[in-house]
Amino acid sequence: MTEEALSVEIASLKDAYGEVTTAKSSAGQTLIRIREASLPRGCSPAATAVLLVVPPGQVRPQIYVKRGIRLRSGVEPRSTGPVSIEGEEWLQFSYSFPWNENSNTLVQLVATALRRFAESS
Amino acid sequence: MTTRQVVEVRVPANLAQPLKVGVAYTKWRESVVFGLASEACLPDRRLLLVKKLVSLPDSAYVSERTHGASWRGSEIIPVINEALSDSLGIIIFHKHAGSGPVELSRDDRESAERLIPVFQSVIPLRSHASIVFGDGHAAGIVLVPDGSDCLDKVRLRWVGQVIEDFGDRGARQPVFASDEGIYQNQRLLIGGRGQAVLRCTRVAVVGLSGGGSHVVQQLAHMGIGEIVGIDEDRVEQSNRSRMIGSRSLDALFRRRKISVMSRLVRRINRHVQFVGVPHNVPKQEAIDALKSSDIVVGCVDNYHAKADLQELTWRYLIPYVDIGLLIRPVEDGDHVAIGGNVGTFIPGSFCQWCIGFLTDAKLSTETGGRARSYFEGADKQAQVVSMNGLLASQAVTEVLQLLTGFARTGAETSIRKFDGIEGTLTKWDVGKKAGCSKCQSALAAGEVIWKVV
Repeated sequence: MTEEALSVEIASLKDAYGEVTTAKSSAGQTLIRIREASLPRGCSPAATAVLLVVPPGQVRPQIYVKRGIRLRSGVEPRSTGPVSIEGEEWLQFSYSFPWNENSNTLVQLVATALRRFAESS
Repeated sequence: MTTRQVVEVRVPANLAQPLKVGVAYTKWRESVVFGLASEACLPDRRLLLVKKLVSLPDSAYVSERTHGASWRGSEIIPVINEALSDSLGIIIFHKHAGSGPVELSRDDRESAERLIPVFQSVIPLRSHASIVFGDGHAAGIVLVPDGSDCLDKVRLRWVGQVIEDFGDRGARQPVFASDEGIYQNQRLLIGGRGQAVLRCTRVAVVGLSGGGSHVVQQLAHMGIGEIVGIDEDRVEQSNRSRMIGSRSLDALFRRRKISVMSRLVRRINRHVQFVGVPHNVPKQEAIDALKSSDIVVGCVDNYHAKADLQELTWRYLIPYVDIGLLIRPVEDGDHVAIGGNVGTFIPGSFCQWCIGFLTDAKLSTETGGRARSYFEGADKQAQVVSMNGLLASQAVTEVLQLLTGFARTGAETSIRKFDGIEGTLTKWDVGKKAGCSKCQSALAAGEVIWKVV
């Protein structure tokens, strides 16, 4: 993703989710932090902070949420695990869906991944 | 003044010598070296973590009788540009001769108070400082991002084979009358100052079972000021064969391992603090506890945890002592192989990735080739209390060396390999791998700076 395209994507995330901050990781990746993104209905809490790690090149960004979310059924999502990213704990989760860097947006990525997350019981 | 306004500058092993050489006097002037530093905020202090050094060429200096070191203003522009491109703070280092306490001269201070605000105007989200050091002492001023006045509560730490604190570390620690007799024999090796250093040190022990419980016990006997035990597990019957201090009721009631360790430490010496963290790395509570520690001892049985500890200790410039034991049958089924290691990893020297202790393949194997989110902990492996104890004892000796330098060795090129069949613990020479991306990216990385879009 070019710097220019990334700027446009970040602006779209801001429009969709409100407060967004960015940083550079020690390995040179772009970090995008959404302060609060709504989770699908039934999840508790109803919203979470989201981290996107955007590596250089045509690679799908990785997405993380905060620990402590329970699904509609009251259980914790499966196939999740804590990871340390730049000295902060995030929750990695498994999801799978097609991704095309040229036609899909980061807003779509966040929405789809969070929906998959909520279905992972 | 809040405790947050205490600033500790840390210099990793690979930069200590270049810094000492860079500030050495020439025949006709003092020299300065610019340190470019990230930072991290702890509850009791702010860390400035030196990531790289920039020296001025000889031609940059101008001769001026009233100043120890003067240079052309334009010569500093490349330094500012480099700091700006990496979002790092700028620290001006120079040296004063002599072995007594040092302080910035009036000229040094006036010069720093002119320069540091300039640095702040260009890189406002980082701290900038001017530090003078001599043999065993340091002083300086720091301007933090949200501050308008320079602070002068500054400490300097070299993170080398021995942790070298410039200042009065240990001098103000209370020596309890009841402790005097406890350590009289130990003091014959490490001296009264060494004992005082132990008293004001915080060591984190990650994993409190076979290896970690031995480590906690010995650190408590040794008189470490604060031991931070990190483990979210509860005692099981199977732990009792090797977990020092565990009892049948601990397993019956499924008590937390940190509770057992707290009881153990209290009974050894009530002046030794034990702080239990009922979470595993990399949960935030564990990360926060690690950040505030002077040394981390890892007694964990999986590569993912070792990788996390490696990254975190490098990020905040904390020496890391790792122990590992592996007992397994060899192919013919009639024999066993018993191997292990004790490694002391000094930030700036070789890391676990450099020497192949950690590889992407090993991490991938642990998750069955899938993502980290599928990691569920290591399989049960053979463990024997005596072998755990042997490795743990060596790890505690490494801690003692880091704090007191009792062995007077400058070697940074070996770890200890254990052969449980031969009963030997031998040095294995290793070295820093050129171009190790894990070392380079994590070293002194500190905390990232978030910018609002």
